[in-house]
Amino acid sequence: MGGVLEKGVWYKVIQVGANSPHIWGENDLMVKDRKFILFMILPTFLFISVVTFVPAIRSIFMAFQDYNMYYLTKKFIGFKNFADAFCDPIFVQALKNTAKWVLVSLSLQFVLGFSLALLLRKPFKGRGIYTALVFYPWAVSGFVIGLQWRWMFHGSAGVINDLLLKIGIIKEKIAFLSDPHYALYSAIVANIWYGIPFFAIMLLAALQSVPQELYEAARIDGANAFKQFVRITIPYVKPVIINTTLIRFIWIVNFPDIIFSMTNGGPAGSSHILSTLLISKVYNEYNYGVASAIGVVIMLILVTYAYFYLRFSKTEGGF
Amino acid sequence: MKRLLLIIRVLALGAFLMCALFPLYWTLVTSLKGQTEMYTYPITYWPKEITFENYRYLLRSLNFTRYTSNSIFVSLFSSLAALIVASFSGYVLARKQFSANKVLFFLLFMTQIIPGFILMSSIYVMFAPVGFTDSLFVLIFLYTGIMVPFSSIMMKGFFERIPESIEEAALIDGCKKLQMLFKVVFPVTAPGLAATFCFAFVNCWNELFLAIMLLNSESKKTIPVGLNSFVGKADIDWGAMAAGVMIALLPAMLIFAFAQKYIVQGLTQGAVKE
Amino acid sequence: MIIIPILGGEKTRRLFYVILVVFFVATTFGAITLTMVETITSPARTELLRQLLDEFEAKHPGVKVELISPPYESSDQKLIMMLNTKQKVDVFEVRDNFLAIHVNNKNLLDLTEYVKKWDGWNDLLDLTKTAATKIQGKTFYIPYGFFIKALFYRKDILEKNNIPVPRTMQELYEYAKKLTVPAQGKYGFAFRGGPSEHSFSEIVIMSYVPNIDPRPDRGYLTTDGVPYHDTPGAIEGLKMWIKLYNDCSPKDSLNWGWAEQVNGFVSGMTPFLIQDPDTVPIVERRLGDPNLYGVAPMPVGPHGKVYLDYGNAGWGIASYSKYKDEAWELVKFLSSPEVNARFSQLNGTIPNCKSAFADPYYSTGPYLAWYEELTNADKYVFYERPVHMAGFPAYAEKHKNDIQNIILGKKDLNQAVKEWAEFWKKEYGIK
Repeated sequence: MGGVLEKGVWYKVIQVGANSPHIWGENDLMVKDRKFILFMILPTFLFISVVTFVPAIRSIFMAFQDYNMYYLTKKFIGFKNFADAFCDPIFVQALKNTAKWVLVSLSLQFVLGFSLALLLRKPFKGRGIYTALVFYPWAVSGFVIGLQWRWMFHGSAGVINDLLLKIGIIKEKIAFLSDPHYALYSAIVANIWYGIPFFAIMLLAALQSVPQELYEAARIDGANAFKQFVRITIPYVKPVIINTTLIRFIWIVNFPDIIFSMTNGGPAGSSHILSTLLISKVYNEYNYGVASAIGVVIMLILVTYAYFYLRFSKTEGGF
Repeated sequence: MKRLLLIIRVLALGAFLMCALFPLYWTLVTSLKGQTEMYTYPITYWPKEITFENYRYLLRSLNFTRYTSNSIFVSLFSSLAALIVASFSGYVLARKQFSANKVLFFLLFMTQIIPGFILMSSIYVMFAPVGFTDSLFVLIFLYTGIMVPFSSIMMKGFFERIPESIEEAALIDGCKKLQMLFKVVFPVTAPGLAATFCFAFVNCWNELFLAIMLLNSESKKTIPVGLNSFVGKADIDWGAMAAGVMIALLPAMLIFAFAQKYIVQGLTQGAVKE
Repeated sequence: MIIIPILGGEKTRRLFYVILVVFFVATTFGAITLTMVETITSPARTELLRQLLDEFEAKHPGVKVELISPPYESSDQKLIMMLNTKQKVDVFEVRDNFLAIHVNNKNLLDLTEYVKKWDGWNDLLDLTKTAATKIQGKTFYIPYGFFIKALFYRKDILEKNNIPVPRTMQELYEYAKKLTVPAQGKYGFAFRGGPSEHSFSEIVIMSYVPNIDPRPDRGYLTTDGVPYHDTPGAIEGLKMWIKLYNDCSPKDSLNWGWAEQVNGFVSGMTPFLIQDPDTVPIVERRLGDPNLYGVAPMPVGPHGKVYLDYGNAGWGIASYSKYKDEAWELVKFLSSPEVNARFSQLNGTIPNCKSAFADPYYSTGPYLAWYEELTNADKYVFYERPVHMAGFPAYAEKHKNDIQNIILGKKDLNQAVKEWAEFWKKEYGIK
């Protein structure tokens, strides 16, 4: 290791860590290698602790505190914030909406993304430019997407209403963002649009790594395109599918940006998901306690989900 | 049959392209319309009179050039930092020598399930009292921290694809481990590094809430903060906003257009475990 | 370096250094930097404020002002965080609905002593003084202007259809209904169903109640000391408000916010619009012709009056500011008639002082409507919503959701008004 690192706190931590019997398994290496490993992962530990875990612990604390900006007492009040959150009928609505939001968005993002990846697998002239263009939604920020689509979904001046009228699909303008039947789904449309490229990129990469010989062998055996797809393609890219849908599920649940700037949860709270309800508790009611309680609920849901997802999909360790 | 499939393929590709580009086209049209045409009805699909008023407004009175350079500075350095930190831990994770790997991986995974918004106030309360606000360096630190977990997970996938034999050869040649990493392992993973970098860059480029919380002065603001300021008490300045979005998209799109070959190539390497 | 904030010892040491450096710089150069935070931000307003601050700096050598302008959506949140972590803030924008939060958290300096020595105080409108002193009779901020609702109408469309300007709520409904032809995309009224709808619906609803108590600490109560919400008048008013939606407004107005309302008005789709004065400059700019629209005082209810809320914002000083005297100079400067008039014109708020109304800009044209509202105490009764009470944001959210649900047929109207009344009985502790 470099000479600079032989001094100071860093070195002490590494030194102590390398000699501590508690964190090393039986098959683990010489002290020199241990030092190297610690040196490699310590920055990561440092970053995720300061930026995520220490603030998260404080926020989880807040879920049990009276943390309302109107009268900031910071008293511990047990589970009252949770009770307050659960008693709100909008919370129940948001819980259901979260399920719709994540399931509909995720499945369509996946199906469309996979189709796009399949279409892009074989090279064609101009594929480079085409890919760059078709993947660009990935580079747009969530709140900008929300505003773009809010403008397009506008009930009277919106281009989507205008197009649908011109094509003749609808006879009367639809108040997409003000009608509880449409508001959440309008946001879902925007979210699907945003999420297709992620799946397309990841799956395209996976598809390209399938060895061509496998297909050739299958063709000789007389397997048609569909059989090839089911027997070779799917099993081969399965780990990627599992990992991407897992991480994407989590990200979509924790992705309030689009709904926040498109409908802000309206009308009548009908398009709130848990993570936008959380923001609204902070922005409209200044109640950090209840907001943190909702945050804790989200975390519990996601941990449970990840646990069962990985168990039932039976991949070793995921990723 | 083949012909039919080809036609379907071309049509499908066309449909995807149209859907992807329509919002972009609409943003462009909006940005080129004048204040009055924006709201006239029936709506026009191409401005009757093209005006660059919105762009001029951005560049003249809004420091937008400053926002852009801030954004480039912050995104570039945080994604670079995240890349270095993440490839270190990704390497350790991939080589499975360390029995605490499972703990590390679990922690990295846990960072993803925490709703970012509830961290906001806690981060502010930790950072503000010691004066760590209104600084692009603090923002770089935070963005790096946010990007490290997923980047590590990505890098782990790439390193797993590299045969250990090349490392052994390098070590026999008398390389030190760290040297070996930089001289042998990283160059082989270059496309993977590019993919991870782009991923981190785009995310930092678009981050809004932390930037709003931590940046005070006009001269430090990033593009998302600048764009967000068009959402006023009541009004949204759609024209200026659309122009801003067009400008903000350019660098991200350019990077992407330039690097997408490597991204897919890199991801292909890391896509499937053996 | 990032470990430092976690270790207590380092933290205090660092703070000590910072204080030492500040002290050193301040004594050596004598320059003072005031930090000012605005919250109702927009790029144009920030530009003007910066200009005004430059003028202030020119008049007060040795004082610099640093302006912090967070984007509007997050600005209140950010300001509260800044104040609670005692960041350097000297002067900040106080909005009426945040006054209670700032006072409760002891972040707002009591200006009562400063005001006594200020000759500008007498020039302020009575309404400004009432607003400034509404908590414990102490002056916590100097309002710079008011957001008071009035009725905007499209002159051209009314003339074409031969319809006069409505004077009562009933007339407003009738005329708006006459203008409504959904098949042609024409409606009468720009309904507000989205965020902050309560400040629109309550005007119509309350105008049917004969006896609202106007005292600032009795918001939402009648002179009988009970919440107005489930009184017979209020129920009638609520029904009128819903009729305005059903018979006179486009469907999607159920979730309209400001932008949609104004678009509807400017495009001619909804020629009647209830709005604040800050809408005037925007409507005028978008219409491109000031003769296309007019502003009338708010129509009155069946009892010949209407209750108007006087939403306002102003400038206050952080209780922990190190430069209180300089900060007060800045607040005085911003509140002086000449500066206030310039600021109000761009901001669109009704100015805070009497002398501003001598300016023809306010004594003619659209602002005349507000002048009439301000000077006709029998017809236009100013009251204050209980924004200082902790339940208010939750009530506003509930009110919005309930009204939307009533219209959607998911909630019973009588049930809703009962719940609102119960809500405020609980808040006020009335049995």
